[in-house]
Amino acid sequence: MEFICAKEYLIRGIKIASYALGTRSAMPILAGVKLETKGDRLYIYATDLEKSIQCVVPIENRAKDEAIVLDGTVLSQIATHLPPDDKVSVRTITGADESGGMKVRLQSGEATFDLLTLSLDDYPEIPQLPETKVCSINKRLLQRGLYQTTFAALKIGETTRISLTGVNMLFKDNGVQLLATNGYRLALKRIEVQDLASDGEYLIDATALAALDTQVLSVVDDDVVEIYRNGAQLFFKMRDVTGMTKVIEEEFPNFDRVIPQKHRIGLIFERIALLDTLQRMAITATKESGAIVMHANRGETAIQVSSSSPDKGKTEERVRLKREPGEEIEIVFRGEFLIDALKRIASEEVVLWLTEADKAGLLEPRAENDALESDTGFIYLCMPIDPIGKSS
Amino acid sequence: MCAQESRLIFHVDMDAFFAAVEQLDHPHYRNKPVIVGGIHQRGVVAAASYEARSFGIHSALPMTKARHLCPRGIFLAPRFSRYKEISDRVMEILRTFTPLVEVVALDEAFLDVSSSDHSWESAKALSLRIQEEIMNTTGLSCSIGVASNKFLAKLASDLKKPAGLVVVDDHNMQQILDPLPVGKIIGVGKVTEQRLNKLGLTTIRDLRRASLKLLILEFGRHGRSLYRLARGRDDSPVIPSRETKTISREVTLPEDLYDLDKIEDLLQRLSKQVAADLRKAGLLARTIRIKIRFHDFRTITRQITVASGVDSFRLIQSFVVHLFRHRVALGEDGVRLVGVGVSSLVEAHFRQLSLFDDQDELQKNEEVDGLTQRFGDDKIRWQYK
Repeated sequence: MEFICAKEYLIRGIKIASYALGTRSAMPILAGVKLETKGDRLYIYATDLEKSIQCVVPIENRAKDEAIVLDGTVLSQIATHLPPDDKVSVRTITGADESGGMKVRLQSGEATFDLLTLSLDDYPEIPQLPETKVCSINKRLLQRGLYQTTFAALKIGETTRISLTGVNMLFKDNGVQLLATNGYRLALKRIEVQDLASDGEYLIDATALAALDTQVLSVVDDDVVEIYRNGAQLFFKMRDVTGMTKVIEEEFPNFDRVIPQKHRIGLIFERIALLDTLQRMAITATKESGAIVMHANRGETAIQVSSSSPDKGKTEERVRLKREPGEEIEIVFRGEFLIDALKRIASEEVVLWLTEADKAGLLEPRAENDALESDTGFIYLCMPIDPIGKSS
Repeated sequence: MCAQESRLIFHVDMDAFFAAVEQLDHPHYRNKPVIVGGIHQRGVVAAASYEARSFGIHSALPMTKARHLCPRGIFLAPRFSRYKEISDRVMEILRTFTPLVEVVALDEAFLDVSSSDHSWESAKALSLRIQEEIMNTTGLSCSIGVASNKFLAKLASDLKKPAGLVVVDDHNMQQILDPLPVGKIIGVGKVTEQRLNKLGLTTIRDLRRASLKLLILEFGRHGRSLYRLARGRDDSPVIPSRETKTISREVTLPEDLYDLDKIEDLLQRLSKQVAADLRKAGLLARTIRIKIRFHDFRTITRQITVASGVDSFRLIQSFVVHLFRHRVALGEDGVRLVGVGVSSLVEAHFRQLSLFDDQDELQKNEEVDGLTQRFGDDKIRWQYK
């Protein structure tokens, strides 16, 4: 192997590859990044078996095609600290040391790295892009959708209900509905897709999708992402980059019946004002319950919000409403759940729909002039805290 | 060190609480021997009415023995949610007298009612008002111990039950303390009591006459506190809204266990008990932990923290099994102890409602509680801040 490559491309490729880099403890070989030359292209692969990534980088190939595996962390560190030169050259050298193993020499500017390789034979097979295309999605919309849903799921390690660590992607009616829940709150976003070939439903790890958003989609300059699938995997294909995530083989809870269809009271807030207030309330809310009490009175143009804990004290505040509510209600929410959602809405105004003190509240952007469509199709459901403890 | 400003501490102890609640709710049980406890043959007495006590029945007595002592008694399974409800009401009343209320159990609490101008007379009047208020609101009687610290107040509340009111002041303190057996001292369990007795120290008077040097020699740091307690000294503060930090159950095995299935089985049994303990205490847990001690005393713990508190046996069990299967490498080592514990506890009256609650959950838990009461002979381990 011997090639020369524009530094910028190589750095970008390595950064993107880190999306799917495994950890050494799981299986040492997964901490490796596979580099393979094919003609005038370098393929960079990484996989932790749950997800994988492939990134194509143009090169000037100076030898026959070959593949090697290098330590991914070392490679990332090198990528961040390469000297100010436009080009990087990479070639294999046969180690003169007692181990006799192959080394790779990476040179840029005046710097020379001689790197140990990992065993190519041990490297797992890279899943190939299947033929079945699901649809195409505008990348910006997909990113927005992931940003507004992935946070609502649970992390692996927080639960044994694996289905709640995923985002349920339901492709239907020229759109995809992204849905994530931790069992107490639920974020739902519907975005449009193009050329939907067949309906389908895929449950995908939320952490992997969040990383796909920040580490891959944010880095590439494509406008469109094509979705492909095979039985157990979903692929996100762009021009030079293809990401894969495994489908979680679990039943996603039936969420249709939990989304309230009727609302009694709609509280309209200025989003930032409500967010700021809730963040102040969170200071004195009890750590365990995070309870924040909201009290709306019929015909009053503000609601009373308060929190208290025996060890910290009490906070109280009034938040203005855009319109007087027609009825009175007192409801208690875990502040964090509302704050999470309010942070991920862009609209100036939001509506909190309520029915009863022990029924879900529905938060929705009031997107009248949503030119960027950044909030279109987003709703958020949050179960209250039962202060009476009827069930205890 | 300068002299501590004198404090005024109440210990409020409900009289035969569980049994009294049953008599309150069921008028035809009144003036009759009522025994609350595990109704299974291996259960123990949780509470006995004063009528039942005259038959020699006391708490922690095996139920079979109680039945033998009082065949015509009324034997009832506990209804913890009802006791919790009334307990909450009592604590609420206490908090109207001072914010410094430390809840010790469903049926007892410490109050710090110190003020710049308190006197023993005003304290007595205040105690009478508390007793009256609790009686008027709940129909239940309580005994109150009044003293300058928690240790003495707790001793005092026990002296004239039921409906007692005992003030321990500087004049009568030593006279009250001296004849009591050393086992009455906070923190003196059976083992320490036996060790003290072996040293010839059976009453608090004996203990008071022992030298500090001897006590430290025999009991280390604990010796110093014994020395102070024997003199009626105790600085421990009343900590309001005292939270239970952890609840755990563990078993040491008679012989090392190698069989994975058996260990898992035990963990599940312990999960059941912990879940029942949680519900009994009216708490939800966010952190679930397992503990494994190997034959060489190497001990590991593994834990998981979940988004919202749980008290369901099914959930706790699933976390426990998950931790055991995925996070413990057993190898060839024998296991001598297994434990299940929960922490990050939150009072169940702040129950985060779930989007997908299935109704059978509660029902299942109640069945399990029924089962667990049969194993009700283990003590819950409480650990406080």
